[in-house]
Amino acid sequence: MPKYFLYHMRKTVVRFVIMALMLCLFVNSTVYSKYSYYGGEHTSVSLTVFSVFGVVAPFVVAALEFSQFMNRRNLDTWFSLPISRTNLFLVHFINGAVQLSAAFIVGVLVAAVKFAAAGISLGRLMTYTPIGICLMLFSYMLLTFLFLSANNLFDGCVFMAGAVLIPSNLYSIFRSFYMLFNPQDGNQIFFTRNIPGLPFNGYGIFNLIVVASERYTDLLKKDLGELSVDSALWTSARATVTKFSMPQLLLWIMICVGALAGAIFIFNKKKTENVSGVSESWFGYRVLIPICTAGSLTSSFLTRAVIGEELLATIVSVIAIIPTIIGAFIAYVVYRRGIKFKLPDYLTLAGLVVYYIVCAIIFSSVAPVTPW
Amino acid sequence: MIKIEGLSHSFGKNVVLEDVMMEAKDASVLGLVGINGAGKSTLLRLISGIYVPQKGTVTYDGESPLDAYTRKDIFLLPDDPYYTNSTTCDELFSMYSNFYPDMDRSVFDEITDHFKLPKKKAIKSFSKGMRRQVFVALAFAVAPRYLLLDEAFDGLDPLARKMFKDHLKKLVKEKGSTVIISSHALKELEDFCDAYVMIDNNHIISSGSMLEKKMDLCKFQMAFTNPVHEVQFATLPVKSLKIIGRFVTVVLEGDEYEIKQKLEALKPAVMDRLEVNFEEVFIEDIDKRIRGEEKNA
Repeated sequence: MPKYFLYHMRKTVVRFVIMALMLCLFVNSTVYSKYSYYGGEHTSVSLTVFSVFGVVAPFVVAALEFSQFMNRRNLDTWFSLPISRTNLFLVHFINGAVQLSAAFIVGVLVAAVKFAAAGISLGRLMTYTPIGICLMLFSYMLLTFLFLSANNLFDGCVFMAGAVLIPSNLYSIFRSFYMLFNPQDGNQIFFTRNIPGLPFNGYGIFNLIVVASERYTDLLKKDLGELSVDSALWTSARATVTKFSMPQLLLWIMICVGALAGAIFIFNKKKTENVSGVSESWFGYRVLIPICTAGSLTSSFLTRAVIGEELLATIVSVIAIIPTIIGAFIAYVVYRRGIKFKLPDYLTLAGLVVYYIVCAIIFSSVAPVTPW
Repeated sequence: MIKIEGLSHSFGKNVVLEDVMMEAKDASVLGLVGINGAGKSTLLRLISGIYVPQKGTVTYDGESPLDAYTRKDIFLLPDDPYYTNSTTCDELFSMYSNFYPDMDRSVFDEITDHFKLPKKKAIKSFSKGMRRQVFVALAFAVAPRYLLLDEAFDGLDPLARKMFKDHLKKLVKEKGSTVIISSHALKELEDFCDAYVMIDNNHIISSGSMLEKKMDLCKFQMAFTNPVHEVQFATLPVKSLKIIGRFVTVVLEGDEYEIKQKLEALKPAVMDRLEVNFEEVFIEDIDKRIRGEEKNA
C-alpha cells in the first residue's frame, strides 16, 4: 500500500500544482488590498477566497480521485489487483485529503506573506488555518461518500450536488412553514435569530466553511479598525443568516465522519456488475428529487405573501407547479436513463402533487395573503 | 489448484451461471469456450475475485480470491484492461510493479522490443493488436502462479500468437503456472490447452481433456461414383454431414474401427480420414443443445 500511495501521489502531483497555483493567484489578489474612497485610505482584508476553495475544491478532488472506479472496464483491473478494497479506497482518499490540505496551506503561506508585508498580525490567520482545513476535509468526507454512492460519473456529480441541495431545500421547507406560523418574524434576514442552531440552516457543512472565513475576515477587519458602523450592521445581519452554532457544527461533524465510514463500506461492498448502470442509492436521486421538488413547491407559496394580492398570488403559485413537476419528471428521466419509470417513481410524483395540494390548503387557510 | 463448486451468478433476473463445478489443475492450461454471452467473462471475473459469488465458492488451494493476499498470485488480463489517455508502456509497467513487486522487466522489454512497441508513446494511440501485445507482455512479466486471460489472443497477428503461445507453454513448464484462457479462436486453444470447459446456456455442457474429446469423433471425406443421398447415412452415428454431388464430408461419433467398416460398406470410390478440429466439437455440442431446444419447443 505505501508503494502504491507514493506512486499515486507522484501521478497526481500535477493536479495539486494546478490547484495550489490557482489558489495562490486568487489569494494574492484578494486577501489584502488598499484603496481610496472619498479621499480616505481604506484597507480591504478578506479570507473569502479560502471559503470558496474549501467549498469547490473537495467537489473536484473527490470526483477526480474516484472517477476511475465509476467504470466497469476499469474495475476489472482495479478489483483484481492484489490490494484490498479498503486500502485502495484509503490510498485515493488520503491522497485527496493531503492535496487539499497542502494546497490550502500553500495559499495560507501566500496570505501570510501579504499580511506580514502589510504589518498585520498573523495570529488570526494561524488560528483560522486548522479550522478552515478541518471543515474542508469534513466536506470532502461527505462528498466522497455521495460520489461513491453513485454507479457512474454523472450520477456521482449529481449526488455530490445533493450535499448542498438537500440541506438547503429542507431549510427552505422549514423556513416557509416557520414564516407561515410566525408572521411576526417575517423579516427574511433576521428571522433565524429565533431558531439558533438549526442543523439544516442554509447549506449544511458548506455553510460552516463560509461562516468560518467570514467570521475571521470580520475579526481581521476589527483588528485593523476597518469595520465601520454600516458594515458592522451588515456583518451582524449576515451572521444571523449564516449562523455558526455548536449543535450545527457537531451534527455536521457526526454526519461527515459517518459519511467517511459509509464511503469505506460502500467501496468494499460495491457490486462491480452494477457500476456504469442506474444509481439506485438512497443517498441519490431517490431522496434528492422529492426533497428538491418539495422545497421548490413550498417556496412557491412564499410568493403569495410577496405579491399580496389573492388572485394573482394563486395564479402564480398554480403556475409554479408546472415547471417544478416538469423538472421532477426530467430528473426521473435522467435517473432512469429513459422514460421506463418504476412504480415508486410514479408514487413519488403523485405524492408531490398531493403535497402541493395540502400545502396550498394550509397556506391559504392559515395565512391569507398579507405582505410580510 | 483452482476449484469452483456450485457457483451461480445472476444480473438481476438474468441468470448468467448456474451451479458451475470445475477444476483447473496445477501447471496446466484450461480453455474456456462458449458462444458470445455464454458467461465466460463473468466466470473469469468470479474466479479472479472481481465479482462476489452469489452462490457457491471459488478457491485457490483452499484460499478465496476475495482476499487480497490470495490475489498476489493471480493476474487477470481482461478483454479491455484499464489504462488512461496518457499511459505509456513504461508507466503501465511501473503501475503494475506496485502490486506485483517481482515483475520481470527483462521479459516485458524483450516482448515489447520484439514487437517494436514505442515505450514512451501513449498506449491509447496504439492499434488494438499493439495494445494487446503490451498487456500480454505485462502478464508474462508478472509470471503469476495463476494466469487468467480473457480473449487474450483477439486482435493479435499469427506471429504474435505463436510467440505468446510459446511463452505460455514456457510459463506452465518452468513456473508451474495454471492458466485459464477464454477465447473464440478455438483452433488456437487446441495447440496448447490441456483441458477445456464449454459453457452454454448458463451451464457447463462439456468438459475434460481436449485430446480425448477430439478422439470421440472421427471425420471422413469420401467420393462416390454415383450421386449420394442423406438416407444412406441414416443408420450411422452422424454428427455432421455435408453432401456436394458425389462428394461427402462426414463427422461421426463412436468407435473409429466400426465406423470405418460401416462407411466402407457404402462402397465409396475414395475415402480419406481427416483430422477433427476442436471447432467442430464445439459447434457440434452447441448444435446438439439448440436441436434439443427446438425439439422440446
